[in-house]
Amino acid sequence: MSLDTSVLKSILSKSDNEPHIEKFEEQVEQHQVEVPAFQEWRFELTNKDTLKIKLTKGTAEIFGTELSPNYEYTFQGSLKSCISTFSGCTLEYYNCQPSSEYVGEETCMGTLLNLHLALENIRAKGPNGPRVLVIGPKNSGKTSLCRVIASYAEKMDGRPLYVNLNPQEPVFTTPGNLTATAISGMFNIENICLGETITTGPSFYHPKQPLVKNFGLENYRDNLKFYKYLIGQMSGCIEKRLEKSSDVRSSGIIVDTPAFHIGDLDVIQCIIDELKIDILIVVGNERLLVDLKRKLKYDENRLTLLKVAKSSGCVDMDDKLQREIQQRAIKEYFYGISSSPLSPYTMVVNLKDFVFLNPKVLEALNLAFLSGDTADDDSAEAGTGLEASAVTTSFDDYMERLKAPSSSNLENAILAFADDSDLEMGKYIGSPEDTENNTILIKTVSGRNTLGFCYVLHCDDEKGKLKLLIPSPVQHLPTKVLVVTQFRYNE
Amino acid sequence: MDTDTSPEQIGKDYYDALSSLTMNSRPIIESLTTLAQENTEAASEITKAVEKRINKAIPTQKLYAFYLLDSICKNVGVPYPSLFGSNIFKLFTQAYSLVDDPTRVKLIRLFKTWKIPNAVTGLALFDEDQIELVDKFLIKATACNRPPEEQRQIDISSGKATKTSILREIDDLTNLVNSRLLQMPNDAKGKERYQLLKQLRRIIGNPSPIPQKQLDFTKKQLQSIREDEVMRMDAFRKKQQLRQQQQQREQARQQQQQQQQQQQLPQFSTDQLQGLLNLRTRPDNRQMVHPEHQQGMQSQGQFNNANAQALFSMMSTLLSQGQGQPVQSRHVPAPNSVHSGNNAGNQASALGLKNLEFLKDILRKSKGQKVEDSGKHAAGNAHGSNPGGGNMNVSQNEPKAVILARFELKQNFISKHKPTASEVALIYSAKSNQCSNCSKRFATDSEGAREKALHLDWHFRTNKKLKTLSKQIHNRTWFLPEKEWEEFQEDEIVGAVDDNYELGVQMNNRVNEKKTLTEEEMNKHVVMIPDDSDNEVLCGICRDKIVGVFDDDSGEWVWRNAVKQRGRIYHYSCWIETKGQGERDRSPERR
Repeated sequence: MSLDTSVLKSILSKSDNEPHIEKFEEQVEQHQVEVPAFQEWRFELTNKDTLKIKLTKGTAEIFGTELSPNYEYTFQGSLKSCISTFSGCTLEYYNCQPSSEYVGEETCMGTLLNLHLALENIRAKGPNGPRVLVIGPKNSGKTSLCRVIASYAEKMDGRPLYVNLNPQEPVFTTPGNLTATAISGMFNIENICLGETITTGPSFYHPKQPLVKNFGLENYRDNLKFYKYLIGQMSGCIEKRLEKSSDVRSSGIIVDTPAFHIGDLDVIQCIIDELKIDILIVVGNERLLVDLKRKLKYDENRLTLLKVAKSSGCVDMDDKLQREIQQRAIKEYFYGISSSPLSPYTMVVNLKDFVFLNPKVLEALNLAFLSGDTADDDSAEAGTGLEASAVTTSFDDYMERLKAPSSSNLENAILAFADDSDLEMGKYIGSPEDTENNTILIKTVSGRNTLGFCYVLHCDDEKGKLKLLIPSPVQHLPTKVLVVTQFRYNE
Repeated sequence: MDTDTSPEQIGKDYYDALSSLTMNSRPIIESLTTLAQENTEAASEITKAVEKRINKAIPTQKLYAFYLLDSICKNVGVPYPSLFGSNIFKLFTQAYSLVDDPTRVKLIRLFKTWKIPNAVTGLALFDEDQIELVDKFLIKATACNRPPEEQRQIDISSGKATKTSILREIDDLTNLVNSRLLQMPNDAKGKERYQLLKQLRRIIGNPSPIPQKQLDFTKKQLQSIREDEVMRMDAFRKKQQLRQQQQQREQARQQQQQQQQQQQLPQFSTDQLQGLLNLRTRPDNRQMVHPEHQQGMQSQGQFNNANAQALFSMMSTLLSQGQGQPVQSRHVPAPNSVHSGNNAGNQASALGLKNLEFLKDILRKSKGQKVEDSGKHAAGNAHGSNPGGGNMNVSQNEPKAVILARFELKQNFISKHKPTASEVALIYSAKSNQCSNCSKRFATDSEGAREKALHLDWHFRTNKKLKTLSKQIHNRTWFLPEKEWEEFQEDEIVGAVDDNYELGVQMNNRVNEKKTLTEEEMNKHVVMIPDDSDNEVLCGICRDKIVGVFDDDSGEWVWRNAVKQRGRIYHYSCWIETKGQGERDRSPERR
């Protein structure tokens, strides 16, 4: 009897093990990379890859955030990134072979450290830290630069305010938003949106508390008026915040932007004035710097213009990669990351109980965007066109009320919860045609912070029901005003 | 969860859990207490585990295990006090004999709480006999082994004067008066006092017994003398400081002139020497003198080294204990012995020093500094050369402010400058105390250590929360509206105070708590009745029936005011009510 079972077992384990062993070997295959000092290891992952990295010798960082030698980093999904080292380091990677990987010798690490220490010098001097605006063409490394100098500031006990004005970039939340976040702890480099926010409960790194303003459109040029209006609203909040938080004030502001070109002069001017920028950094385009020097209205004693060369490691972020990252950010918003998953809830609501607003895409400007998409374009037309239309500012240009919300315009959409507090919503809900009231509504909610997002799982036109995926198990949504963003999500 | 829940296993697990008790962390102690409470069937194993921990832990960590023992006995109660009580004398005395003095004081404080009888039962926490034994042990132990300062305080607070305590006080006072005399050699009253104290010591030191009354009186007298001394010292120091500042300013001017004629060997006056010594020992002040002249700074550094050497040679003759350290007089000839004992006293006083040993220490330090300074020179020369080079460690001593001062926001500098090792060190090895979990760095000084301890504590709490949460449902709250965000302070996230992080979450949660649940809202939440289920089901929380109804809207049989969670059905209202506590508030850290 006992003999029988042991034989059986051995047979079982044999047949069981064989396929396992192969898999195991594949997993364990390790690669070592030696990265010399002041160089970086660049790697690219595709959608299905999961790469694990460990730092075995020396010190290394990913966009300014230091790697821990005691931690196994996991990077999942499409990514183009790099690990740089000041001291020289040895890395081990396994679990998959990146679609591309090499050690880059030419880096701008030195420049960035110089820049950081110069900023730190300013921080050391006074109660008001430097306010840095970073602009440059597409794929020139603006975000990387911002991340590096924000990380370094945090490393030296600063708490800089990280402002993201690029609605395509998901920073601490879904894409489509402008955010301002004090960086009082490390970034989570495994997280596609830089880290967790305080909305999700405990996380391995200190969570952040972002200010979120929903723009709802992917491209800032789709509605420049609304874009500038939001920057103005943000500036108000930021000033008040800085007044109350001396820790943040003394560390200053770091502003990341979409790919502005000289045609966006008035937007750049608007940001400089609204956010009281005193250092303008142009990345990877000398001509833009020269043009700006000539055309911007600024006081030379107050504003310093600098250029930083584009890193040789900059890669093209094609639309596909951009989409994938955006989709991942949305997924993270609802479902969390693998180490701390979140449970969203479904909820069925009546369409008629809510007001749906749509951020407007202004046609004329949309055309300007089409013609002026190349980075070096010096299209003055766009600039003049803007100035002319800016005179007639009206809130109706920002958003419009969706007269007939239905599956055709809501299915799979990401909806933003606008803050409708102090509004007597009963007055507005029943009357979609009341333009005067709608204007008041838009005026009140369009500039306010966004509380959160939901996702339309299904819209039943016949019954007038909307099935939503919401992040929190609330009894009722925190608002009656839902902003229909341009972003769609497919599970 | 382990399926093996035998008491032995629990004891083993518990002992493993105890290994986390490496710092005084309330959350850890509370959670371990809760564990002990939940597993009273394994009480004797847990007791053994704690005792084992106390015996096996390294001395610095024994105290925390005692805190746990205390917490378990006081909070859980039966059967732990009797279990621990039988062995408490041995446990306590063994630990006491191994730990350092501050810890002993803490142990004693802890022990004192054990003597207080319970308000209800009127009994002490542990067995009276054991407590008495410990008490006796402590009386003996403290009498012969306590740091003087500690002893003095205990003496004062206990109000009882003993011969030994008074002798200690006299010695201390004698030192005090003596050091003051060195600074104020003309103080006749001080001299008198010094003599008196010496006499007093002789009298008290006499083995013949002295009445308690007299002892008490002497003690009071001594106390008033001490107060007087402290007052005089303070007044004197303030005067000195004023004078020093003046001297420093003068000194700075003179040094600038001397830079040009550096070959010429400077002849130092006492004042200069004193000023220089101050400059050496307070590098920060020195930098304040010329923050802008890097070049000036360095030569000044050299200059000061020379002075330090001169001073050293002078002092070693003065101290007449001068052995070992050879006098280096390469740059500067040993100064005149005219700068005599009086002068030495002045040096000491200027630095607020009490005795000569300490002064020697300072001298040694300023000698050591020389090496570092020359290292700085090397780093300065190596400007722009190999930054990964060997002088990394040495040049790190270049202060942050000095490095930062040369970083200007100029295009040329930003693009061309190649960071040196000491500059890179600012974001790396300047804070070499790295967190083992994430990679956050902390300074190596005591402030850095404190921050790191808090940081590790935070990690511990979060990791535990993450672990418990992995079994629970977890979701996202809302972002903040303008006003709340404007008021938000980052300290609520990273601050040191208790668990502020929870506050932040609550703040973000507040948006949820606007209105109470209405009938209408409750009925909006429906669960479709699965085909294979009965029409009735019990709510998983209140155990009431939920009866299915036909929903006209969806054309389905549904349960109203219901929610399905992990395969169970709950009243939606019950679910909402318990949710708040269920997810966040139940964690043991909260009060």
